[in-house]
Amino acid sequence: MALSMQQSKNRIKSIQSTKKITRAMELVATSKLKRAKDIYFKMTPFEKELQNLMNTVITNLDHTKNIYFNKNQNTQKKLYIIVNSSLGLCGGYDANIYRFIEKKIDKQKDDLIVLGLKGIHYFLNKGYSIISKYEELPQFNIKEKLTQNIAQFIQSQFENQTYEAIYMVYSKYINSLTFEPSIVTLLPLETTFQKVKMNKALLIEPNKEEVFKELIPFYLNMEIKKYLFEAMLSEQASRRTAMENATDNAEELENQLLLAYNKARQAMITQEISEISGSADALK
Amino acid sequence: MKLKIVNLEGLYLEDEVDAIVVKTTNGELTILNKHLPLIANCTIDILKVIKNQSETLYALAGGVLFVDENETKIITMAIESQKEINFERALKAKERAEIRLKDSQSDIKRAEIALKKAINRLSLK
Repeated sequence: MALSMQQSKNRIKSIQSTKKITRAMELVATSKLKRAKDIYFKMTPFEKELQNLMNTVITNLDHTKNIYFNKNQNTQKKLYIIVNSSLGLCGGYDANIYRFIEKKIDKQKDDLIVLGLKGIHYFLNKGYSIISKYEELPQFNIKEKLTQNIAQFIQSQFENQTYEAIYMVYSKYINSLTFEPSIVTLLPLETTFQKVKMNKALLIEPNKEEVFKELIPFYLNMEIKKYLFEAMLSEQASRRTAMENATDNAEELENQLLLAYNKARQAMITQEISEISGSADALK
Repeated sequence: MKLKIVNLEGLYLEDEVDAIVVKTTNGELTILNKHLPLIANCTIDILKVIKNQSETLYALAGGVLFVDENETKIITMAIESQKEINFERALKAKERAEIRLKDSQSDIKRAEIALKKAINRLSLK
């Protein structure tokens, strides 16, 4: 049934106000995306240097016996750090992560650390064991202490042999339109590192084990920060795309309704004219 | 000698310098040109950069020193030059850390590090 004039008028109004909101959110997400991108790429030199240093130290280290390179044999418990969003309206960003990770987690054994309110609600509802949760994601502040706390925590847990391995789940940023849920192993450390060759003998003070021990919290902190910021970057990109689509859809719907409104209006005018001319005929 | 300091925000400093003086866990080290390749842990202390006989001081909050064949790198979480330090903030951080140290409930190790960092910054005043 075609909509009446009043009905279509009301719906047009409501769609117009929704469109205004989604347009505004798209603009906000665009500017946040830019900021997130800036910060993410700012970290690259630090990451590169640290990776290089890690490779150099590891090359000189016997990593077969080191606990940081081997899965804990005493337990099969795993820890997952999952990054979700705190705010909604970002398309399939969160749902993709849920779908991706739920097959991998063993509900009975594994523990989770969840970042972002949406994820906390979801995993709590489903009855997963969450050992710590961060409702608010950090603002784009590179000096954020949050990652340091997580890094310290997972390192001590791993040293105490509570977990077999510790993973991080986040949305990998490929470009502003594509991002995919990914999983990386934080601990044990990868053994497939790049070997670094030195021409001269390398002095390591006080000794390589000590240096390596100092490096680990540094390295973990940086890794977590990197993936967290990458996830936040994907979130903004996802929100921007979602809001852009919503604005486009609103526009399309508005046009359709406008057509319906004009049709109804024209029908009414035609009807009125025929009524008037009909009654004029009757008067003759 | 090429000196490169990186912190989380990217490249903090890249310069051609004559020498640097840095405190490591093994004691104070002066790195001159053509030093042997070396990796060492830096402690929370003052970093001295010498260029054309003038010294510049930085407050270094720990990190790793990596002397490669042709360049010296310092990888750190936080570094500030004398001008950049917010002394008011450092003073407040010092007071906060001191209160935390007296409280047996708090994480003593973390408070100690915070206190060290604050004192290090204040020493440049």
